[in-house]
Amino acid sequence: MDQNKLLNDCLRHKASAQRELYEHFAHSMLGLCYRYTKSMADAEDVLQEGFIKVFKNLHQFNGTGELGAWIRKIMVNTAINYLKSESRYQYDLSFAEKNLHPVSDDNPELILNAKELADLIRQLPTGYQMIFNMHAVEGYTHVEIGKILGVHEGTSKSQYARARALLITWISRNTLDNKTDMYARK
Amino acid sequence: MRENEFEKQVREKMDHLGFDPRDTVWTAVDKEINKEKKRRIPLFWLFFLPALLMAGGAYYLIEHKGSPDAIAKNLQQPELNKNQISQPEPKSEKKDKKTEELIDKNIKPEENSTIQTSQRNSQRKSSAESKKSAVANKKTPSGSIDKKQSGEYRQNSIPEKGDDIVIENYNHKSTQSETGNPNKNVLDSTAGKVIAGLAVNNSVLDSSAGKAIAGITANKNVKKDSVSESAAAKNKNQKTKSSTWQFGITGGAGISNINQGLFSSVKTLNITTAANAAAYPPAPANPTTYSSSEIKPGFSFETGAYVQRNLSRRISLSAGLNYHYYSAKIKTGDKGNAALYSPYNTTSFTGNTFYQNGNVQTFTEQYHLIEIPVSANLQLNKSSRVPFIWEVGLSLGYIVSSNALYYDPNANIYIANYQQPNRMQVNAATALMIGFHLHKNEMQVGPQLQYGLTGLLNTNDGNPGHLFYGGLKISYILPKK
Repeated sequence: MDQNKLLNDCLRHKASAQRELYEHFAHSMLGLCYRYTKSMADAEDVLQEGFIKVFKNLHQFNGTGELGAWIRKIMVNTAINYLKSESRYQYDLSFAEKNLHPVSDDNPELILNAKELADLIRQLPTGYQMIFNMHAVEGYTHVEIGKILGVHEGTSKSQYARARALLITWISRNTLDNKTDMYARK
Repeated sequence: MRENEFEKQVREKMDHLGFDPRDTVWTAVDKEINKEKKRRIPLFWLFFLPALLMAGGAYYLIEHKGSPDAIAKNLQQPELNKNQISQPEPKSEKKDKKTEELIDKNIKPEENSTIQTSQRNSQRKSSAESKKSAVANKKTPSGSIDKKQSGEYRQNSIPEKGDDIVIENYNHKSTQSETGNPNKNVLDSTAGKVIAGLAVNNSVLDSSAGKAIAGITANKNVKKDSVSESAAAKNKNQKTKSSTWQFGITGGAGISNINQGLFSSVKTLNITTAANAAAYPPAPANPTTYSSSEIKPGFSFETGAYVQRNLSRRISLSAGLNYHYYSAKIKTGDKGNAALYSPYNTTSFTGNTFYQNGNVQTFTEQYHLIEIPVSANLQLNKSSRVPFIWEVGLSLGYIVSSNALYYDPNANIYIANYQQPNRMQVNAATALMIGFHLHKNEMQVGPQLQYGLTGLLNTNDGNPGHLFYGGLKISYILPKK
C-alpha cells in the first residue's frame, strides 16, 4: 500500500481508496475497540464512529508519523468518549477509590492467547479496563491518562495497580485451570 | 521477570488481536462520508448563485445606464417630471438660436411663465399630448396637480424624436453677482413652486405604491393561508429538532468613498445630466471651463445585529439590520449663503447654502444609511477551531440623511442640501472572515468590501457615483442559552 497515494485519493473522496484504507485498518482497530468495550456490538459502534472521524479529519494528518498510530489515537479517544457517554458503562466508570483490590508485583507468564487475554481485560470494571488498556497496551503515561480522563496522576497509578493485580489473579487462576484440564485429559 | 515484562507480553498479545467487522459498519461509514460529498453540488450553487446574480445585476446597471431606455426611464421619474423638461433633439446651430430666443423672452421679468418651443412645431413631429400637458401645467397651480395629470406628466416626459422642448419655470438670469463672478446664478422664487409640485407628485406616487404594497401583502396572506396547514406540520417537526439559528452582533470600520467603478474614485458628483445639459442655455461667448476638486476617501463604520441559520456544517445564511456611516472628503472654497436658483430646474434645493470651488477648506460629506444585509457564508476550510469563512451577499440600504455636496459645473459651485435622488441603495458585499473562540464564544474578523450597485444620482453621463466601503469587519456570535 502506497500510503501517500492512498491518502491523496482519500482526500479526493475517491470511494475505492476510502474502502481500501478502511479494510487495511478495520481488523486491528476492531481488536482495539473490543478491548475497551464490553460487547462486540459496542466495539463495532466505536469502530464506525472512529472511522467517520478518521475520514472527516484526514486532511489534518500531517503525514510525518505512522498513519496507523494516528488512526489508533482517534479510536482510543472515540472509545473513551463512547464509554463516558453510554449510560450502561457509568456504574463502574467511577475512578473513586471504592473497590479495593490487592496490589501485586507478580509477572505471570502469559500462556493465554490474545482473545482470551482480551476477554479477561474486558471483565475488569470499566474504569480499570480503560486505564489498563491505556497504560499497558497503548503506552500512555499516567500524566497523560490523568489529563485525558480528567483525574489525578496518582489516581491513575493506583487504579492501574489494582487493575493489574486483579488481572494477574485471574490470569493465574485461568492458567491453573487450563493446566488442571490438561492434566485431567492426560 | 522484570516488572514491566508483564506489560510487554500484554502489548505483544494485544497487537495480534483483531476481528473482521460486519459489512454494516462500512456501509454506515460510507453513507456518512458520502452524505457530505453529495451536499457539495447544491452548496456550490447555493453559494455561487447570489454571486452570479450580483454580477448580472451589476452588468445590467452598468450597461443600461447610458442607453435610450435608461434615459427615458430617468425622464419618467418624478423628479424630472417636476422639471418638465423633454428630451431635446441633438444640438444644432439653428436650435441654439431658437434657444437663445427663448431665453431672451424668458429673461423679461413680466414673463414668469412657461416657455414652449412651439415655434419648432412646423419642423417637427407634433406631440399633442405633451402640449396639452404643458398647457395644463401652466394653468394649474403646481400644488394642485391631480393623479391624472401626474400620469400625463409621466407620459409626456417620455421623449420621442421630434417632440417639443417644453421648458417651464425657466427663469434663468445670467447676471453678475456682487462679488463679480459672472457665472454665479441666482435662485428664482419659482423654484419653490416646482418643489411644491414635486412633493405632490411624490405623494401621489407614494399612495399608489402603498396600494400596490397592500395588494402584495394581501396576496401573501392568501398564500400563507393556503400553506398554513403544511407549514404548521413542518413547524411541529422542526420543534423536535435542535435550533440551528444563531444571533450575533457585528461592527466594522474602514474607509469609504464615492466611486465610479469598483476601485476607481469619482472626481466629482456632477448634477448636470445629458438631458438637462441640452436644456441649459448655450455657453457664453468666451466660455470658461471649470473643474472641481477630487473626492477623497473618508472614515466609515457600521454596526448592527444579525441572525444566522446554519444549513450545514460549512454553509449558512444570514440577515441583519445595520447602521452604516459613509463619508468622503472634498476641498471647497468659501461657504456662501445666497439665493440660488437652478438653471436646469432639475435640482431640488431645500436651502440656499453653497460652497465655492476652491482649495480653502476640506468638507466632509456624510451619508447615514440603514441597511438590511443578506449574505451566504461558506466555510472554506474544515477546521472548527479556526474557520475561514467567505461571505457574499447583497444589502438593501436607505440613505436616511446626507450632507453631500454636488458640483454645478456651470455655476462652478458646490450645492449643499441637494435632495438626494437615489435614497434606496442596493449594495454588493463580500468579506473573508477568520473565526476564533473567545471564552467559548465565537468571534469572526476579516476584511470586507461593499460597493453600491445603485448610483447616487440619476445621471446618464456614466458617472452617477457609487458608495464604496472597505474595512475590517468583526462579528460576535452570541452564546446559545
